[in-house]
Amino acid sequence: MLAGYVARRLVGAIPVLLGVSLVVFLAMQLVPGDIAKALLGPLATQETVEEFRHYLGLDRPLPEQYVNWLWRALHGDLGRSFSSNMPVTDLLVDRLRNSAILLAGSLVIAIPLGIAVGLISAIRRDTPFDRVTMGATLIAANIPTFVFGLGLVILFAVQVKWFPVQGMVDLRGEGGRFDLLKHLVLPAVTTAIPPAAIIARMVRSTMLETMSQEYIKAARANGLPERTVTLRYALRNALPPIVTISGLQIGFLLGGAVFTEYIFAWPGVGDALYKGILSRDIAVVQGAVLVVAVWFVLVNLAVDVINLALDPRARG
Amino acid sequence: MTTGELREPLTDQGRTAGDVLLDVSGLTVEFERRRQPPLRAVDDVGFRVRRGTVVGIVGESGSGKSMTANAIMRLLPSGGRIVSGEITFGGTPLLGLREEAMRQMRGKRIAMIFQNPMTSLNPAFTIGRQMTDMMVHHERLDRDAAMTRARELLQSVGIPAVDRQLAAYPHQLSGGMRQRVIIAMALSCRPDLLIADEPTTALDVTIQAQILELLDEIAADPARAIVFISHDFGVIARMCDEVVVMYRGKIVETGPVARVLSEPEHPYTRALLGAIPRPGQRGQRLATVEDQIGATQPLGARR
Ligand SMILES: Nc1ncnc2c1ncn2[C@@H]1O[C@H](COP(=O)(O)OP(=O)(O)O)[C@@H](O)[C@H]1O
Ligand SMILES: [Mg+2]
Repeated sequence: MLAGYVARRLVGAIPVLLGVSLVVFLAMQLVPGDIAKALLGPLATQETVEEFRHYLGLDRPLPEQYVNWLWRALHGDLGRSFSSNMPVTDLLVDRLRNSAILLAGSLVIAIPLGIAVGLISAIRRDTPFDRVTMGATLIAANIPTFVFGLGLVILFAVQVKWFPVQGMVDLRGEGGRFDLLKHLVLPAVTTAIPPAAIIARMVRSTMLETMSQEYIKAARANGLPERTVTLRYALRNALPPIVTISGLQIGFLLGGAVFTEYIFAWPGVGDALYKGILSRDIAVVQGAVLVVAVWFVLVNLAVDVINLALDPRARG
Repeated sequence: MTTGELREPLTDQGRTAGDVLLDVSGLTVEFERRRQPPLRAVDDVGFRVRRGTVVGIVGESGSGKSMTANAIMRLLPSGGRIVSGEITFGGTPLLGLREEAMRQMRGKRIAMIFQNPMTSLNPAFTIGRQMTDMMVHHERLDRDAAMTRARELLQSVGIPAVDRQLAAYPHQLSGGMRQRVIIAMALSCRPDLLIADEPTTALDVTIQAQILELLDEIAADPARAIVFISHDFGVIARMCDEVVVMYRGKIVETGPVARVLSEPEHPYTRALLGAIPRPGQRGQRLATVEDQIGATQPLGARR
């Protein structure tokens, strides 16, 4: 039954992705000015520009351009980056791997931290711990990345020099896992804090909501230990919204790490997107946005499947 | 079935009373309020419950019945507090117990069932899991032994196809079945006292009668006592030996059910009795109560 559901959802995702690809494609048409001209620079002759437009396929009607682009995209060909002259697919695969490392690093922090803080706040509702952490999460959820990221850099990379300022590896060092880990800490913390705060707030509110249910009162009246009541009876029922909000954060993290990647010179998808926009590297921007959109759709699908598996009603 | 044939609830439920199991005296419960004096939900309430009997607490909604029950369990909602009084259960002063010792009482010596069977079972766990959790905890049974006992318990409360129900989730059961499960669970650790807070209010009339019959059977155990809470005097008359009438947190009248029904002393009690729907609108008060009792029996023609 679950497999059937996944299949149906995957089919349902196709129109969404087509829509996204169309929007991505059209958005790039809205970029003012002639891209061919911009790329060739002011010294290019009209003739060269025309030739280049033809080479890029920009002289074809829009629908045809879209279909061609889509067809190639489906075959894994996202065009070539003008600035690096690399195939966009190769470039993105590399970037995606780097982003995945950053994503994994921040999830390892964000999810356990968010759940733990939210749980403790809910259990110790209205205590000083609850008030302080809820104030802190409100700030943390809204703090701009660059403020927080630069703050961390100044503190831990410039002042006390525990961690490197930028990059993924130390070019003078031997590299290796430890080196990567050292480089990962600050960017991972930077990207983890806002989602952790959002997850904590969500966990707290759904836990409070669940703990006010009559079956929790009944479990207490049955003399079950408080730990069983909160961590098994209540948390289990609070899980679906927690999975949903965590999924949303995971979905955002891939494209949303733009600033973090920029600040820490972390060569991920967000960094590629940012640089692509600055240099009008259309193919890279299109490819990166597409990757982010596909990721979002997949994460959403995973969230729905997990929640379906968690819901006894769905088991008939 | 004993449809239609009335026992004699007005004089005697036919039970023999044993020693005092629960003794509540001077119980006062307050809720903190902002910028206002605390709200007194239960005010100087006292009553005794003997083994082998059913004591009813009756009163309109908001009169403090549930908070009295919750205070006995020491499970008041947040903001609520027992400000004075004594609760002695089987010789033990409950208010003096440490929280851990009190928790051992709950479910094992004093069990409680709630009004709404639709919301008082955990929707995420199977019936079997919920029933065994409690026995594993209190009786130190292993899962298999607990499952065997759960099976017997479900059979004893009249649940068919027991194995299927044990594997079912609450949403797969009807309201009446769920209330039977909840009752079976409440009995699973053989408690001395059962507190039933409006156990049939959320059920429709036919099912209500069946559940009352089941509770009647449970009340037949001379070692056990039941505190039966209801806003419905008809149900109280059907079930209880003694009744405590509450109004705005206070006890206004108490005594054997038959006496309170035939000679209510307090005007509020009279008003409550008058509020019982009278299908036939007969003249005498006693007759109206009998009618009400009749209406709680299964009515094949009605459904
Ligand atoms: N959680 C709560 N917080 C504040 N006041 C409450 C709460 N629960 C009940 N009360 C108050 O206690 C009084 C008695 O309530 P309750 O015992 O539930 O009445 P009953 O069960 O007789 O309908 C009510 O007047 C209500 O205002
Ligand atoms: Mg009540």
